[in-house]
Amino acid sequence: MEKPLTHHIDSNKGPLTIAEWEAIGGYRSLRTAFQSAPKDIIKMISDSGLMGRGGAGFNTGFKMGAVPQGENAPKTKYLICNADEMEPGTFKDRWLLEGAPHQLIEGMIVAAHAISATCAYIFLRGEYKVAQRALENAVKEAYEKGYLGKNILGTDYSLEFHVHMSAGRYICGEETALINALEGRRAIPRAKPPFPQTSGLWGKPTLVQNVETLSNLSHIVNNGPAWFKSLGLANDAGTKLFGVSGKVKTPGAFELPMGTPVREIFEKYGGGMRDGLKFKAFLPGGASTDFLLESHLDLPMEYTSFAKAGTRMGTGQMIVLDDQTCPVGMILNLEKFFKQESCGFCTPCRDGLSWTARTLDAIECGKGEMRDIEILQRHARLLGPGNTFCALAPGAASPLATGLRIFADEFEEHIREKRCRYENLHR
Amino acid sequence: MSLKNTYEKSDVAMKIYIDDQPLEVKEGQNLLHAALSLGFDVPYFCWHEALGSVGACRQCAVIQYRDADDKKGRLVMSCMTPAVEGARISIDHPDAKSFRASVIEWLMTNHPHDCPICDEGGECHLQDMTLMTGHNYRRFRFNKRTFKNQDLGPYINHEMNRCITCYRCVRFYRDLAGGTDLNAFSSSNRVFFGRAEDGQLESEFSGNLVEICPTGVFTDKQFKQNYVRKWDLQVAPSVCQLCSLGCNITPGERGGIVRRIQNRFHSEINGYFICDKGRFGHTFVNSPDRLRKPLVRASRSSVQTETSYDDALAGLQSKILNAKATVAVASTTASLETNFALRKLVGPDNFFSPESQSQFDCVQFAHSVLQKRDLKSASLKEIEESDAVLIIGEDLTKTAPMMAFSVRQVVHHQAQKTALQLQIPKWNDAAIRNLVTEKTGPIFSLQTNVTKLDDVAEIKIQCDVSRMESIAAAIAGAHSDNLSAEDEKTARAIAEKLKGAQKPVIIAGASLESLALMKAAVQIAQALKAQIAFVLPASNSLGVHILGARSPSELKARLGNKVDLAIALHVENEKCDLTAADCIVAFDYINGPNVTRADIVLPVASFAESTGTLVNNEGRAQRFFRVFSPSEGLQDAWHLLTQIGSSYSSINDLTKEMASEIADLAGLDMHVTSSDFRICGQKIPRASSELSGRTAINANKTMHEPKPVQDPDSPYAHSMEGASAFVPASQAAVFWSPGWNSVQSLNKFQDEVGGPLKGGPSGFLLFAPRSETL
Repeated sequence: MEKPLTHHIDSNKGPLTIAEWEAIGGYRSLRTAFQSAPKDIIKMISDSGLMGRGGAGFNTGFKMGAVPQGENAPKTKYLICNADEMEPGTFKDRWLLEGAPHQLIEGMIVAAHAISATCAYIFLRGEYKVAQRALENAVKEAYEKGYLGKNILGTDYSLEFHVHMSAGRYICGEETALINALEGRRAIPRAKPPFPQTSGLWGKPTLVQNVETLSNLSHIVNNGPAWFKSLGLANDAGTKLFGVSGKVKTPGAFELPMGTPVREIFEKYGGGMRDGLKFKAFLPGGASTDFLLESHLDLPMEYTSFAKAGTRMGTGQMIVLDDQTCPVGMILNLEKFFKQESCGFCTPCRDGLSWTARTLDAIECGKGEMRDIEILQRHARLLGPGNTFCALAPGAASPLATGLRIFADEFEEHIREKRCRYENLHR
Repeated sequence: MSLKNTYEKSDVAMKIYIDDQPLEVKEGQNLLHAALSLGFDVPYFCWHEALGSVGACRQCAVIQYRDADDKKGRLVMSCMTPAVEGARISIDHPDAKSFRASVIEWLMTNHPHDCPICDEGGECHLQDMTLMTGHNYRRFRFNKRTFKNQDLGPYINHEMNRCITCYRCVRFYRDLAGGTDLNAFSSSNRVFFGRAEDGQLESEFSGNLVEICPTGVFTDKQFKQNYVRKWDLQVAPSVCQLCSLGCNITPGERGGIVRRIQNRFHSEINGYFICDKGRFGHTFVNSPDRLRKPLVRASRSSVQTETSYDDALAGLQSKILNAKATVAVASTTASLETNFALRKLVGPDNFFSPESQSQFDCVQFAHSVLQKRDLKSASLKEIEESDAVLIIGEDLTKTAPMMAFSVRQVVHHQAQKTALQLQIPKWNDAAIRNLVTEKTGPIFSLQTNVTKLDDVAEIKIQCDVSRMESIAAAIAGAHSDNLSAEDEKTARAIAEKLKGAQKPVIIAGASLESLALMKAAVQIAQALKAQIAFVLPASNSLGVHILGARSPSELKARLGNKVDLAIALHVENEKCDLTAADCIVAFDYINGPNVTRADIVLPVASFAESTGTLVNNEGRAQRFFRVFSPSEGLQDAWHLLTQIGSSYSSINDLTKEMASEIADLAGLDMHVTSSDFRICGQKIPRASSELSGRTAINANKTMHEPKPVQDPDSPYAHSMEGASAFVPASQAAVFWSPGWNSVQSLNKFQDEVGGPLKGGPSGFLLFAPRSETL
């Protein structure tokens, strides 16, 4: 099975040096990319079917194509790698950042050249200190080798490159809030339109992409769009870093073909539930996705199949709920996170998530009231896309809405019995 | 709900549908602005006409349909949604109503039940919007987040528990006013608006927080000392008298005390905002130093003793009859009527300016330029819309604060133009500020010191007056040998930029008392066919010159010989030394060193207690109206003056005579509200119909119902009764509309939200240019 993103990563050793990376074909894609017109590279990426790996699943080539090009476009343009991985349950980017920094840098140079960017940033989550060292070192090596800076590979293309450490808020993972944070301002999102491609960092055309998305680019350039498409098993192209966490036997991140059945990821790679525990439900893409059930385990794990099933794959890093962990407590934990991470700009998220978290807390510690359910359901319904300023609150509403439905009897029991049935199990 | 179709014929009109009703709107608006302009009641918080849309509060939610077949629709924020041809929305859709009620419910989870003790109550936008959405039942059962308040200085009270996190305060303070010491802190539902530490807010426009905040977080701390509910106030349209701009204000009074000053919208001058001087600088009206009783003294060595008006006036009358040499000194802060009455009393030959000679020369020059009518005087609105502003020697933040505020908006205006090229509409405020990160704009500033506008000026030079005169002359095209190469280069750069602009404005004034600077400014303006904006020393500087006041050097020469009688107005505001005269008569409203030097003192009403006309720096004549009746026999100065000599039955007669005698004032009487103005035979009430305690308030003194205070010579009544409908907006005392008790009610009094008041902007431009092209 081809694992272009991770086959060379040895977590025990640390990242490959630039020489080691070049020895296995690293930075070869730059020569191809630089000889092609930017619009051809963008078409190639578009044809490959690469979809954004940050969770939104937007066609990458299409996103790149929206950056203004040509003589009338602004000269200064930015490429930003969104390395602010903070979605609970998600740890795939960390694998790539710590293990294969040059793969990312190479992909970023391909993307930067394709949109004629003059400067690139990696916006890195502040807690990822190991990744910071790996990246800063790799960037230094790349500059020394002439892959970054002025006149790369003797062409007239120059690229300034910076690694920027985030001061640490989840909302910075939202591309427009990231841009505001990078500008040194309050990390609140921006309304779209205008999109960052039109007006982004300091008002200039900006492309923001996830770590995993950018890490794929050198391979697509080297091997072609058809190859990338062929890696997928169902509708979507390429491989994906999936993940399994929760009380499973072998939690971790795994690079597998897009469209691998969920069950296979969960049982074969995640090892299935630990002894004595039973599968109850799962969140397919971290905290901001719906609770799904046993029947969904047969879905191909890919954006298209999940969308057809009326839900979302998100980051593809599943969190599994077992039958001896309180679902109310799990949802409370998630909503407390979202409440804390709310930037405070719009009313429903700011005041609604607080009310939600307080209510769930009351229910979990036996102080719930029957009308709380209706209040929680109302919040799950009202905190939808378009009603709030960004996608944080709708993300928070996903596990809440599905959880209230799936675990309705457990919620009622908490309220009626004024206690958690699992309290003896995990106190 | 009043609905109407409205569009200006010169703008593209398009059709939209609100709840299936076809309506016409101008292009380029957002749906909230369009709906409000049409008279619909859509609730909102974070949107403001002057601040644009950001989409934070989510209160303005409506349902938008894709097309006529779309039956489901989706929720959108009307302030962030452009009104396009064929747009279909529903305000009354139950989902929209329910969501809007939920927004209030969310805000109420933390909002304290302060209404009974909150200063904002009765003019609170949050109260109005809560009622509008119909939310009335509390389901939230947990406790509320609270904050520690800060001491923000003597003018602004801070009560953060009431905050609904609409972000209007920091957007106004930082984006519009250029302030740096107020910001948003923290996140989630603990967002805090305040300073890094306790301390007086540094911006000269901080007072506007009181009106921009939709709840009681920021309130008028000075008003708190003498607080009454808004509906208990007596108000009238007035004009600020503290600088030459003539911003429109509404003072509020109760019990003989001015309680507070609010902004009164004028589309061409102050717009939605006034400076802190104008808002908080009214305490002199209530000061114990107010003169209440006439004073006389037998000789220079004796003490002033109280006397009656009759005696004092009789004494003055006899002195006038017997005097062989009389001088009268005008006041640049007194109304045209008062100054004219004085002029009439002593004759034009004896009527002098109170200014210093160099000040006089500057204002005289400005007057002569305006009289020529070939340069247009820029209004504050025109300054905001200018694409190149040259400021010569005026620290605007100090001498004409609201002009500094307008200059500041030039940067954003230019950014709006840039954004339009990327199809970002003017109202999408955050997007524009994200797109154009440049803090400076086409503003060129020549100053003698560091100023608060330095941060927005593309080109700035700090130098002494003589170097400034050379640079200004160089911009005008003259060459001087004593100009350094660098200054020459800068002057040329400024000149080039001004030449390339469509609507340049040249600002100059009398602060540095340099006639050369003002002449250079006019030369530059003439060469470019630019607009000129003069900054003058006082609220009626131009008025004094229009009335032909003679020069200070002539006054000095006159005082060199025997002068029997010197009559002066508002002596405390002026600097001239009249001790050479045998007898000094002072008409003033406040005590002070100059008053104590007078031989006869006649107290007059302050601006809040009198009616009169002022001419601002643009040459706009504006009438301010008495808010409350002055105490104990105090009268308008003009009224007092006209009792000696001829007397008028009405201010109308005085105005008419003035207009016919003074060439510049021709037609004035047709353009100010006549005392005879009535609406269906009724006067305009100064008080709302909710005014409380009218009869009970004096019960401790007497049980008898007080006679209503008469104000015969006025279109306004000291009463709650009168014409409350069909009052032309610029003449309105009370701005109220059903369901709109806060300052947001202004929307109902504009044809288009943000545009001029219904009936057009008030004031009479005395020097409107002849040429159509200007």
